[in-house]
Amino acid sequence: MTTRDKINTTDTDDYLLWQALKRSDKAAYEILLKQYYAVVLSYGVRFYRDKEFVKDCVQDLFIEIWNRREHLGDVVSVKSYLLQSLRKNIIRENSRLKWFRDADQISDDQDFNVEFDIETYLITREVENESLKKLRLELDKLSKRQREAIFLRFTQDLSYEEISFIMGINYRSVVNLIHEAIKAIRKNWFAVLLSGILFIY
Amino acid sequence: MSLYHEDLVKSCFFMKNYKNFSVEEFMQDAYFRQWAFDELSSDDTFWETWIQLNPEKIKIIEEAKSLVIALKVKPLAIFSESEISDGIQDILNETLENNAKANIFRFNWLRIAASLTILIGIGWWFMGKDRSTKVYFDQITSREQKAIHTNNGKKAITFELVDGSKITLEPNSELRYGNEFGDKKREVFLSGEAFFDVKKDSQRPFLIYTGKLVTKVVGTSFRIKAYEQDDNISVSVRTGKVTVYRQDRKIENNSSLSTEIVLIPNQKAVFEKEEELLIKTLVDTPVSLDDSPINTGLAFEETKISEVFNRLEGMYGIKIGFDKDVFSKCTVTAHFNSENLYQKLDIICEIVRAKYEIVDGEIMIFGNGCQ
Repeated sequence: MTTRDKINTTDTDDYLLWQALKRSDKAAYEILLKQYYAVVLSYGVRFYRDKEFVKDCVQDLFIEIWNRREHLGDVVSVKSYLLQSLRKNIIRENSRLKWFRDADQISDDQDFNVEFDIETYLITREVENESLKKLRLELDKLSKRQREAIFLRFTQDLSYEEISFIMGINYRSVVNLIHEAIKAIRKNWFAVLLSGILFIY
Repeated sequence: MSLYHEDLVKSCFFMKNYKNFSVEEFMQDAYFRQWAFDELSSDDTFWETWIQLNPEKIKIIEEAKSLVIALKVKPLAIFSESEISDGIQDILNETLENNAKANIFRFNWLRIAASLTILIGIGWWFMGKDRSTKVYFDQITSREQKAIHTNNGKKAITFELVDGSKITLEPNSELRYGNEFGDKKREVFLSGEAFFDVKKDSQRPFLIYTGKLVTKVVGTSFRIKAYEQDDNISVSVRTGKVTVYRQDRKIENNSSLSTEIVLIPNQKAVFEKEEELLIKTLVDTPVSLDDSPINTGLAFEETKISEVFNRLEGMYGIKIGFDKDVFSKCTVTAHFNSENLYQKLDIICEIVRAKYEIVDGEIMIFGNGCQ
């Protein structure tokens, strides 16, 4: 039994619920809605800080799924389908809203807001260390895409396939994004580690 | 209850074979992460025990733990429990069977009749030059008896299909469908021009194939124009909801949400034949969807522009986008009677020195605001 097995079990349930949803089973829809509403919401606010805007997008997404239930295809995983659809909708909606913003406020690249919380962890443990600054620098250097991939991988526990589907980039690119990030952090983090901050037991 | 749940979770974790876990697999493990963040209760000594039993794994555990901590993402704009349950409840309310369609428009005026009217006009273009409709029709109905209605006369003819839908076929037009029409699907193939009065049946959507364009009816009235001399085919919606997409899309596997256009009243889809582009815009003359007497005349006296746009949105069912801050000081005094939507917008825009554009089936107002 590995993590993979755990994920597959959820996927099997989701698969059955998805099939039921396609047959207009409202109970299945409700289960999926309750299971993923907050997850999708928390992904959405990473793109766009306006909570109400994100709530509207998520609501539209779920309503559209119900209204189109008879025409839904099979999905790799329900979670990745939801996240991918929301991502697409938010990016589309956002580019539409750009009409109302000043030209200099507009960036072509979709924002993805991920900040790392390492300070909080260490401050509560009253730790200060020179190597930390280096680690902080490495973390700050991570690109938006790397942050999104890391968020999906280690906060949402998705597979590389799912992340590649959600972000619309190929499998190899996802692996590279994450491994490059880990490599950079590992290098500096070990210095911190050796200074005895972490106690395994 | 919560105790039972905790036990269940724990027993699942114990079943895992952590011995074969890689650094990344540990990082993805919720139970491991809880431990790394010191979030487990103090009497849960699973990980301490596990490490003692598997001393050769200390390096991997250390690395995974340190990376989990380094990559901990700050939580953002946390939604409260009540916000989440309210949000879920809203969606459930909006997807009640009778409510589902009304939600799409978010206006009270929409009343979906049991039987709805469709008007379709298709040019001869398809019969002569474009064979794709026929080819597809032949494919799906090759083993079945085909029904063909042809009108070569000078007057329109009216007939009823097995599902109860009424068709009025204009001269020089042809409507074809397979033997299994009405069993599972309702699919017809049209060349020329026709008037549809479709019986509402949400289980079996009504599909109209016209060349490369497919129009899906969910219970609605609309018009399709596809004349040979035109560069485009257009679908204009009067009431209800219409879905339009290209036929070359795989019909069985239509999971993609992006390749189709959903039209609401006063919106129009235009398919450019040459470029094979499908775009969404507004009909040439949007009509008021609310025919109550209050809205036949429209008078504004020093009315805030946001209210003016609100009234127009409600009247035509078309979204009007504008920057509320920029236009916050603008007021409008105007009386409208028979002006169409665009004439009204011209007048309003003149008053507040703005411009409007039609973008993706919605109206966008641009300007610098008022003093």
